[in-house]
Amino acid sequence: MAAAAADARRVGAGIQTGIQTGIRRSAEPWRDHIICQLKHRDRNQHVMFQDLIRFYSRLLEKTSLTSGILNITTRHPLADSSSLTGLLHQNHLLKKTSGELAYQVVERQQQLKTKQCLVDEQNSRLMEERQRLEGALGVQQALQQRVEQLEEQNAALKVEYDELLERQKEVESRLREENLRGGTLLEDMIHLKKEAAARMNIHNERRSRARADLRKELTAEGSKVTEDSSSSAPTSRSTSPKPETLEEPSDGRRIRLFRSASVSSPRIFSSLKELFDRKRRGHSVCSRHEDLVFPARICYSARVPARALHVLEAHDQGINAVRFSSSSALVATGGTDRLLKLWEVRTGSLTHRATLDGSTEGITCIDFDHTGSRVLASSYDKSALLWRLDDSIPKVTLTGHSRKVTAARFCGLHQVVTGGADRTVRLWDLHREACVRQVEVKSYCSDVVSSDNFIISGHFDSKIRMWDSRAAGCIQELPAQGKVTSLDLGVDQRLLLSCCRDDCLQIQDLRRWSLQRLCFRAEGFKCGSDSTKAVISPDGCYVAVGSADGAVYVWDVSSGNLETRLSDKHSSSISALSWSPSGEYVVSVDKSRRAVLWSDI
Amino acid sequence: MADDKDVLRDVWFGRIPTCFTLSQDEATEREAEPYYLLLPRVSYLTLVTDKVKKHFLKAMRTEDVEEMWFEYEGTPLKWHNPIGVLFDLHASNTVLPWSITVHFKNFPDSDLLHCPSNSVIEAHFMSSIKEADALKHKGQVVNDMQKKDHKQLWMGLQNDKFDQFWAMNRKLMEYPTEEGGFRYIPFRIYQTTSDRPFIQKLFRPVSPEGNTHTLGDLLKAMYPDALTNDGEQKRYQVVIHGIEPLLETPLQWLSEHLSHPDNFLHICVIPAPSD
Amino acid sequence: MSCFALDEERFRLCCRLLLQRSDQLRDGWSWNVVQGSEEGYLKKTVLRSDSELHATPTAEEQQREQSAAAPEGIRGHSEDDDDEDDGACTVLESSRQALQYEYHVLYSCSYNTPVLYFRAFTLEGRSLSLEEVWSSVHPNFRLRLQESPLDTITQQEHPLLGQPFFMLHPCKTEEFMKPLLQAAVDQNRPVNYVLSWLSVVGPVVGLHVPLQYCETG
Repeated sequence: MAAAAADARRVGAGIQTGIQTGIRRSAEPWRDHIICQLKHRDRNQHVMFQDLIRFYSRLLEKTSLTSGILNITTRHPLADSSSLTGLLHQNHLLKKTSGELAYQVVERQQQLKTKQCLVDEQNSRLMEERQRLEGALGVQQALQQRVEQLEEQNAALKVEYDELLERQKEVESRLREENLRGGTLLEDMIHLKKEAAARMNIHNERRSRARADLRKELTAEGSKVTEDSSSSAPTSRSTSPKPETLEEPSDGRRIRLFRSASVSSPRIFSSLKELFDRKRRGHSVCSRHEDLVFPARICYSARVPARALHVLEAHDQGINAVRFSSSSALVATGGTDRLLKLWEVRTGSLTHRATLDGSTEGITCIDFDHTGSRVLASSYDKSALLWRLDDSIPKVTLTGHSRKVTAARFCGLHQVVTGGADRTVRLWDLHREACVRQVEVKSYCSDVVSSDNFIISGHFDSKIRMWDSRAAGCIQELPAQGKVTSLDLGVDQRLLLSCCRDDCLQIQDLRRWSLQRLCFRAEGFKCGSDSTKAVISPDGCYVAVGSADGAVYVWDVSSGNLETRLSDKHSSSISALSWSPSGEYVVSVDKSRRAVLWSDI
Repeated sequence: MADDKDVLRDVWFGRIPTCFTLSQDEATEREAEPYYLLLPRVSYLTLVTDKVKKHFLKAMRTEDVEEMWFEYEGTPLKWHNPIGVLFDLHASNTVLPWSITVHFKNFPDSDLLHCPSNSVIEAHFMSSIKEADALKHKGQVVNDMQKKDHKQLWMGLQNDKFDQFWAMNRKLMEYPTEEGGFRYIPFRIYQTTSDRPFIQKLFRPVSPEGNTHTLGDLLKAMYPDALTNDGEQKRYQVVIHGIEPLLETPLQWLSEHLSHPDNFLHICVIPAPSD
Repeated sequence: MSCFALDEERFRLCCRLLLQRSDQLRDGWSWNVVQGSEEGYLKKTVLRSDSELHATPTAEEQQREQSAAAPEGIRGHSEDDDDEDDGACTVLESSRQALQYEYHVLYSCSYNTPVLYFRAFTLEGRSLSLEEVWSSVHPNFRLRLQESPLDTITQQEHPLLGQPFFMLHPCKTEEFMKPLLQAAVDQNRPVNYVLSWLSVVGPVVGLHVPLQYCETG
């Protein structure tokens, strides 16, 4: 315990001295004084004498050595001076030894030379080895680089491989689904075939029974005829009338059968067909140029709605989208109840014509194509669906978005553009039923519109982006006041209307390429949701939108003033409006299942 | 800390140029040349004079040789004091080199300690370190050390290995932070005016009021005569390691940096040169 | 811990008490003051027989030693009883060569203990070497002490006189004094630190402390 305490104390002391000396150094003359004096002392006492004493010691050593030698040499002559022969002998010996020593010197020199050679050789070898080492190091480096490169490539390949694996998995799962669907379809078909066979059997039976009846009749008749004509022409009577009478009724039967078959096709569509046929007949000469030939239906004056003509509960749940067909004769509504309903506008009211199902989640947006024969809807189920109006089953399902699809619009006749909550805008080819382009955007896409050359998308990051529909890439970013909830493009494709979450509509003129904007606000108008849809009137003179309080607001574009405010008909937030291309009608839908048809009459 | 370490180095590597001459009284076979040597200030005379002994023995008959001892101007030099202390005390204001007379006869028993071997020096050295630690840490640090640590201190001194010595001596120089210094400062004040070899008492590095004690405070308490009063001619020099530190130098710092390897702060008070 | 340490003041007090008793017993202790300072030391000079000093005595000497040792012990007591005049010199008639021992008791402020310094001379004035001193130590002590000879008896400079003395090193003093003092405290018995200490270390170097010191001390 004491030892631990002592340790702690010492550590503390170490720190303390460190800190203290650090602080002290700056302004303490005594320290500098000591350092200076120590240097001075060493100069005087140490440095000055150092060499002197060293040299003296060396000298002393040498003198003692020499004196030792002197002692010996002085002593020797004393001892041997008596005999000259001794001296001579010594001389002789010395000569001999000096000769030996000289020989040794030569020998040593030779040895030295050979050693020198050896050293040189070793040196040159050393140099060589060093060069080789350098070369090897260079190669090693290059190889290392290669290794790094290959590793990088491997990593890239791995990523690709992983991606492919992922895709393969996806595709496999889809294949499985499709197989399943194929199986069910096959079953359905077999079932239908069976039914048809049963029906056929019934027909056949009926026919054979009829034939039997006929034969009975004939025989009865024949007997009569034979009774009548037995007098006039018995040979012709017996052969020729028989086939004739047989054929005539059977023909009549056949026609009836045909008719009954046509009756069995869905009756609702026959009326729709009539509707479209009327339209189509004028232009159906060359269906390939339909979109080129199709004239832009310009409405010269739109009428500001003033009165509700028809109010009805259109769906079982909230309604999200509404759209007039290009002919203004049909209105499509889509709602949370996953259904798309078609209504005929006739004599100031909406008449239910058809229900299109197929979506597994709520509908978010609806669009008609120019010809009015197809309707497109986007859905919460991450897909967009395309129906032909003569068929209640979706003709094409466009899947690929990873979250709900917020908007889907026709883009010409063969392409569709969609925008989704997954922050992508996708372009689809209807022939191939596949996504042909996909653009990743930084933000949630709330709506898309398309003109001849552009695709325009609205986003939650308060930006409207313009894309070239042929080339990739964003052409322009237009700022908005807030989260964009919807876009609408005027019929002349010049004015772009956007509705923002901060209770404001804005109009931009796309031809001018300027950032000049017209804003429409009104007291009481409140944008009810992230998908509230506003519209421009077909003549481009008005804009209309529904508010969170259930009122419809209409502004005059040229003056920017509020034209009218239509309340009392909706009791909840209006989600969408549509203005008929003819300019006559406006339909508004709300979150509590209600649809209202407005007009000025 | 860098310049503090330099101070430690300068202290350790302080040298005094010395000329050894054989006493006239010694019977020699032939004349002995004087021997010159740079003596380390922090070491002991008998530890560094093997060469001197060897040199003079050449000129002597072995039967005349007894224990070697040294004398400076009639004063036998006490080998158990560090060389620097001997020089500062007896010869600081004389002409260099320091001239020491070497004797091999008539060992002054009543003045000098015998030094038959280096182990005696080692024992003396270690005993000083122990005493200093008894003052500084109640002997705890030195008692916590192992035998080999003690040996390291001694070998550091014997072989003039600064780093080896300080690696261990560092521990002896530590102190608890909150106390601001050692328990007591191990010091000895030497003077030549009386027989008493040195003054050594208890003195703390910090006053009871918490003020740092300086060299001046120490002298005031122990040897007031050494201080020069205002307007007075300077009578004494206060010398440590051949230099005169300023009197305001903190005593704790001095003890840490200007102590000899035996861990004592040896202070010499000598008369100021008259000129 | 602190009650076992000896500060300088208590050392002086202990010395005064010891001196009083010494005067009564005529044991020969005196207080010497260093010139020019208030510091001082206890001093006693003793004459001892040379015969004890030989490390390997001859058989003859050994016999003589034994015969001399017995009467010494007896005479040690009788001497005090006799109230002999010269208590400072305990001369042994039987020895041919006598040695003069000079014992000093000093206070060591470093160790907070008393320290025993001593030196010895022949009657001709030659001072004894460390080896000679060692040989005078009783064989029983010698064996024990010689394990680390340089730690126990060393030649040192007398801190007050500046002359070479032999010294019993004080660094172990506290160690052996502690149980002794503890016992005294436990028994609530007054104790003279210096006297107790001297009675322990003295005999090692031939300094005997008579039992009488304790009888009334």
